[in-house]
Amino acid sequence: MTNPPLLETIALTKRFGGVTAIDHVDFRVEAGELRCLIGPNGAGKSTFFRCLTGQLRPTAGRVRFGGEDITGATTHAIARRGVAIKTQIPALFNGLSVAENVRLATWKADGRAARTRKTDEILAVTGLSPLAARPAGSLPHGQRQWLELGLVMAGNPALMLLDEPTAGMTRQEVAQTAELVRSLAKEHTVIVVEHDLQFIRMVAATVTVFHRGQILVEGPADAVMADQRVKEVYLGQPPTADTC
Amino acid sequence: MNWVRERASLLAAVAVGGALIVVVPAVAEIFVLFELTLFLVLAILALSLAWVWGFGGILCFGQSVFFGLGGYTYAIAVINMGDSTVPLLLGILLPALLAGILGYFLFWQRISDVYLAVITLAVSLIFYYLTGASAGSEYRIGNALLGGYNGIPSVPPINVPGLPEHQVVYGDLYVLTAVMLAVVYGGLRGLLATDFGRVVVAVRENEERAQLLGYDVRATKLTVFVIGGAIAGLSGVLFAAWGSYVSPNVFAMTFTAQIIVWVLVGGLGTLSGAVVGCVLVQAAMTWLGEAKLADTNLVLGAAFVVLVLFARRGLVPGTRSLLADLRGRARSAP
Ligand SMILES: Nc1ncnc2c1ncn2[C@@H]1O[C@H](COP(=O)(O)OP(=O)(O)OP(=O)(O)O)[C@@H](O)[C@H]1O
Ligand SMILES: [Mg+2]
Repeated sequence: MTNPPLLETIALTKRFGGVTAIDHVDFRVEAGELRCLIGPNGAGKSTFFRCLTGQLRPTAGRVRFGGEDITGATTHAIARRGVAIKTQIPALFNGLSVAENVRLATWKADGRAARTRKTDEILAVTGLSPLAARPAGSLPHGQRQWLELGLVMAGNPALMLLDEPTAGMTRQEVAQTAELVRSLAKEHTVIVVEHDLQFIRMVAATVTVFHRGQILVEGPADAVMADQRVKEVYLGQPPTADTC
Repeated sequence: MNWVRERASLLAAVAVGGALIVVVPAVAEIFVLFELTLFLVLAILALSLAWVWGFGGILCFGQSVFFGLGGYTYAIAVINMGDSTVPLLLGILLPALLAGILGYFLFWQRISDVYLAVITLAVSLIFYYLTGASAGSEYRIGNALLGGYNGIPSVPPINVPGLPEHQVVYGDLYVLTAVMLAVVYGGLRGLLATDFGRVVVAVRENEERAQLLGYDVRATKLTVFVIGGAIAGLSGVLFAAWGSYVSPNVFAMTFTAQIIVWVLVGGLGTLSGAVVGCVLVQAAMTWLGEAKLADTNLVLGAAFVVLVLFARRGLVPGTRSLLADLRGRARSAP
């Protein structure tokens, strides 16, 4: 018997009224993997993430993490088990300082001194040390993204979910973020939702393509990019009977 | 720079506290002291809402429920027991328990802010009508007649624990109240400086992010709410002991609204603001009431509107930023 995958979903389904955002998704990620999740707008990527973190309760199907069923568990309980997420729109404590934001994320560190050390370390890695005293709400968009990445890193989670970490970033910042994600993937399992092809090529991961709540293709980045079906969903559907 | 400001504000708090406890009772006349005692009792209540709403982010429009329950519990218990020690504790514990039950329902059901405000307000009105309907000799608990809208008169004062003949009244009650206010204020400030306090503020800032970092938002809010209920209960006990009287008016709509006004006038998100706002508003209302120049509620309402329009964040934060502005200008001036 082999080890169970770190994360596995079984026929995971989420409906919003009549809209089926996630449709019987069977998905697995092995420990240590770096996975990219792509797909056109509204494909269900963010909804999929929110089902994993417990922010949304799946309509049907199961989520297994580390071999245990976590379907329907509370968000904080799932977080304590080691799942951290950078949400699509950065969720920060806007009224608190950058340092205070990071400090709140260092709950795993034991004792005040350890928390301070971890906080300083995260601020340094994300390049936010000079802004430590600024309120998080005053940061420009790119740095908000980095701060939220810092919050994800500070808890040293087993699984990191990053929803569009490079949105709103310059070319240079995208490259830096790709570098950071690659180094994070050495010690953590990471799933990244990304639209940016430059980013995907740089991290050279296995890619899963979502389309209308289902997995369309999965495989190495180059093969997936070359796939005719992927080109079609990104460039627009050719008229077929089921689009109407 | 930051810690200088921290120290300065702590020093100011200690100075004001010391003056209130030591200097005022030495110089003030007994009548003034009696009036001031009420302000400080109510300031404790204001602190409880400033904590629950301004720091916990819980929009509770029925903080008077815990105040009133504290007052009634104390009155009923002390009439039956004689010695005030256990009644005082019950007057804190029972409101905390009610806050626990109510909070469990509100936070585990994920009731949104506006509904929470309405529900807590409704609970206070329910208490208003229940206590109001308790007229008649059949409504008694032990020796205590509930008395309907007439309330419970002749509530015995607080006494030195175990010594019922040593009553804490007038000047002594003032000192006890001032000390309690200082303890509550200091306790809340201390609590805010702990890891738990930081999480409380984090939950106010962004519930979703707090959850995603592994903090149990429901449990945090419940704890905040229970602490707030206990403080309001303490205030209610002191109120009943101060006036030897408690009536359904403690649950009335106007009183609940008054607590909200104190906190907003002083500035939401500060502790000192609640105390300042409460004392100023109460002093103004008392003065207006005595001078009989105009209807107090009318003037109060108008003053409140003006304040909301011109110093929206309240007196304490407004004054702070004004001082910071002046300091900045003084520095940049040649
Ligand atoms: N809370 C909600 N209520 C109703 N419908 C929703 C909700 N959240 C998402 N949806 C719908 O579910 C579908 C999937 O949305 P989702 O945000 O998961 O897509 P996505 O792949 O993340 O898209 P994008 O690339 O634009 O972020 C969309 O049709 C969206 O309108
Ligand atoms: Mg999305």
